[in-house]
Amino acid sequence: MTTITVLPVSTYPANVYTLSSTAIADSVTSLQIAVKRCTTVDLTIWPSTSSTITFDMQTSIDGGSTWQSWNSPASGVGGIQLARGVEIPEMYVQGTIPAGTSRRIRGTVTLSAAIKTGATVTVL
Amino acid sequence: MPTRDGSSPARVATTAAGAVETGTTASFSPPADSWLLVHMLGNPSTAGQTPTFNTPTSTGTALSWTKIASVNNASGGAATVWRAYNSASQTGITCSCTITWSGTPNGQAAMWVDVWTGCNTTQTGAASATSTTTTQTNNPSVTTTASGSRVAMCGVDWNATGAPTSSDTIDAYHTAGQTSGGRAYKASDSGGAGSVSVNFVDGGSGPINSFVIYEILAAAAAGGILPPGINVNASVGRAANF
Repeated sequence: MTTITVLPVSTYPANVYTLSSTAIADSVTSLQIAVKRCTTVDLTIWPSTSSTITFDMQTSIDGGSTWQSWNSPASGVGGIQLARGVEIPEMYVQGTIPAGTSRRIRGTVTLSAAIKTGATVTVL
Repeated sequence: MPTRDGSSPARVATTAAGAVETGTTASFSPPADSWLLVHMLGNPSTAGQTPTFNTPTSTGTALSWTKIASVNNASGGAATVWRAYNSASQTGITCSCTITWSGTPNGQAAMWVDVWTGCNTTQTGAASATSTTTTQTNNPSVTTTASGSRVAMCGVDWNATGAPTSSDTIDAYHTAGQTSGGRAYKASDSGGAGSVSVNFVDGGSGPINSFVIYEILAAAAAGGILPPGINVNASVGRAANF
C-alpha cells in the first residue's frame, strides 16, 4: 500500500488542484482518494456545510495515451458528519481499477471555497 | 439489445435471523433465453463485520450462478451481484439470496432480481467494478469490453441519509436508521467499449456507500447473411469450373 499526498494539510483557496499523471504498479488492484473532514479532533478542517470538494479522477491502461473516467465526478459538503453516531474522518472514494499493465492515474481536486484540508491518493 | 424484462419481480427488503441476512422475491416467470441478475445489499448491525456472500437459490429449474462482484465497506454496508442464464421459460419461480455476517445483521436493506433479454448467451469477460465512498454525489464507472452493452449497478448507504436519486433509471428506497439504497441502470446501450458511469446521488450528506457496477453483454450479431437471391452451391460450382 502506497499513499501519495496530493495536498498536505493546509488552508487552500478556492481552486482546482491537479494530480499529475502517475504510474500505477502492475500489482495494484484498487485506489482510494481521500480528503480530511471536520471532526471534534480538529474543528478547523472543512467546517462549512456550504463548501464542497469534488474529485475528478481518470485512469489509463495504455501508459497515458487514452484516459477513462474513474468513479467521477464525486463530491460532498463539509461539516461534521456522523455515521451511526461515529464521526466520519475522511471523505473518500475507494474502488477497483481496470486490470492491466502500463496503468496510470491523474485527476483534480476542486475546492468551491477556501478550505483547510488535506488530500491523498492511496494505491492498494 | 439488452432489455430489462417486464417479468422482473419487485424489490424486496432483506430480513435477519441469527447471522444470516436474506432476501426472497415474490414469484415471477422469466422467459426463455434470459439472464437473471441478483442484486443483494447487506446491513450489519455493527461496524467492522465481515460478510460471506452465499450463492443464490431459486425454485423451478436449477440455475448455475456466477458472482459478478461483491464489496464491503469497512464501516458497514455490503453489496453483491450474481447472474444466471435461464434457457427455458419458467412459471412462478422465486429466488433467494443470503449474506452470512461475522456478527449479526439488521436486515432492512434490499434485494432486486432483474430479468434481462437480448443478451449474449455467454457473459464471460463482461466487465465489473466495485467501490466504496463517503461522497454524496457519485458516478461509479466501469470500462466496458464490447459495443452495445448495458451497464447497471446497485448501491447501499449504510448511514441511511435518504433515498438516492439518479439521472439514469433507478429504483431507490430509504429505511430510516437502517439503510438507503438503489439499483440503477443506463437507459440505453453504451456505444463502443469504454468507460461508462451510472449517476447515484445520495439522499443526504455523509453516506457510507458500497457499489457494484457491471456490464451486460449484448446478444451476438447474426452471422454473415448472404443477400437474397444468392445460391451458395451455385456460386461455389461456378468458381470451381472457372
